[in-house]
Amino acid sequence: MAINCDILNDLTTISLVKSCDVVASGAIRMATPFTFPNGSFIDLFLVPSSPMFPSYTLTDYGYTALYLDEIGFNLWQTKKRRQVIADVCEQLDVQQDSGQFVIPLKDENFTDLGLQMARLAQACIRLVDLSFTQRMQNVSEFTSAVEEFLAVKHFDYEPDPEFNGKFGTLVKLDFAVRGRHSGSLVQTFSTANPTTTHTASNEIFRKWFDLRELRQERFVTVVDANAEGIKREDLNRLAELSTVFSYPNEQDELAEVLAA
Amino acid sequence: MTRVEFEALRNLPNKLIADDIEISLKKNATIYQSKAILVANAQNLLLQLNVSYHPHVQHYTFNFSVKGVGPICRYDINGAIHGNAGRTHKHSLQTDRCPDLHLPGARERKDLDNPGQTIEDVWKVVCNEANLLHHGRIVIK
Repeated sequence: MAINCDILNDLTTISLVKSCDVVASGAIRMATPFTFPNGSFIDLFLVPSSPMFPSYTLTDYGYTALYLDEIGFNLWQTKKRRQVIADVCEQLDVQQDSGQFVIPLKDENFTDLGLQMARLAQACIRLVDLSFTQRMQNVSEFTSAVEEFLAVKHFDYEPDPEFNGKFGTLVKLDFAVRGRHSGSLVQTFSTANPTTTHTASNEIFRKWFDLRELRQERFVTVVDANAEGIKREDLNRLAELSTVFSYPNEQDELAEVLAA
Repeated sequence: MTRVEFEALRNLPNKLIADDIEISLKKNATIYQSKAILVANAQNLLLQLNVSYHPHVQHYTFNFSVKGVGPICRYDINGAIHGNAGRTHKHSLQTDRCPDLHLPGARERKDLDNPGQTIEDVWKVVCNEANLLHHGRIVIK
């Protein structure tokens, strides 16, 4: 069959409602052909806004945020994420309401409901894709995430630098970063097992202690904000010999220090 | 985590949740959620459970994850359609890539979608299948 512009419309028209039912609240639940990254079909809901007049709100009913929550990604956790959410919503003319992403529908929207559904689904997919910038991390993934941060920020850095320490041992770190006027030595700190955090913290303290009289660079410890079981006293001890940043919460401050 | 490791964890007896599971609505939220609930286990892994409940849809999930790995098992009751597994299904880790992909595989569980069933009814089945003891209740606040 030869394809041309005249018949493309017929060939590409699809229904955006794979299945439809009414849920407990009275909202209409529509399974769309769009999917989240794990293959689940994205549901959109038509919630009646008023019993008196036929108006509706098209909403994801909070499922975009729930999907992300289930993989340990808090959508509104950081200022940067909130800004990205605002940018996506503005670009797609979608609103936020009580953890939901919504499009209020007026009468004139009803005839192009498909377009509204496509916009809202696109917003949901773009927001869920934020999780690929930071997944739930194990230790090596946290170091990779910090390296990704350095790369995205165009820092001049070298991974896995090694130095001779004061007591004849070799000290291995995660990154050596060159700023405008000075350099920084960076060690990441994350853990999957809270019973080993104190030992891991002591090891990082040992590294800084062994280098403190031998290196001129700034010592920087980058702590995984999502790691559990890291004790305040361990962080305070590390702060005696290094500048400690929580990542990603303090990524802006970290960037500023590394760039100096 | 490999499938073998997942099955070993699943089959590990006497995994324990000692307290009530509280599900509540945060400020400016629509879906009731629990905090991460630690599941004590003999392997000392950071195994945790998150429960969610959407009252408008009567949809709830029991999501098991391991810190540093990601989600490894999830029961979805009247949730989004997943492949051919319908709205009520169970996801579980099949390969070591599954946590990164938020558990793409799912098996239909019509046995968990009965009229009149409660969240406690489903939770009993989950506990039984997961070799999990729960010394508490599910409390929706």
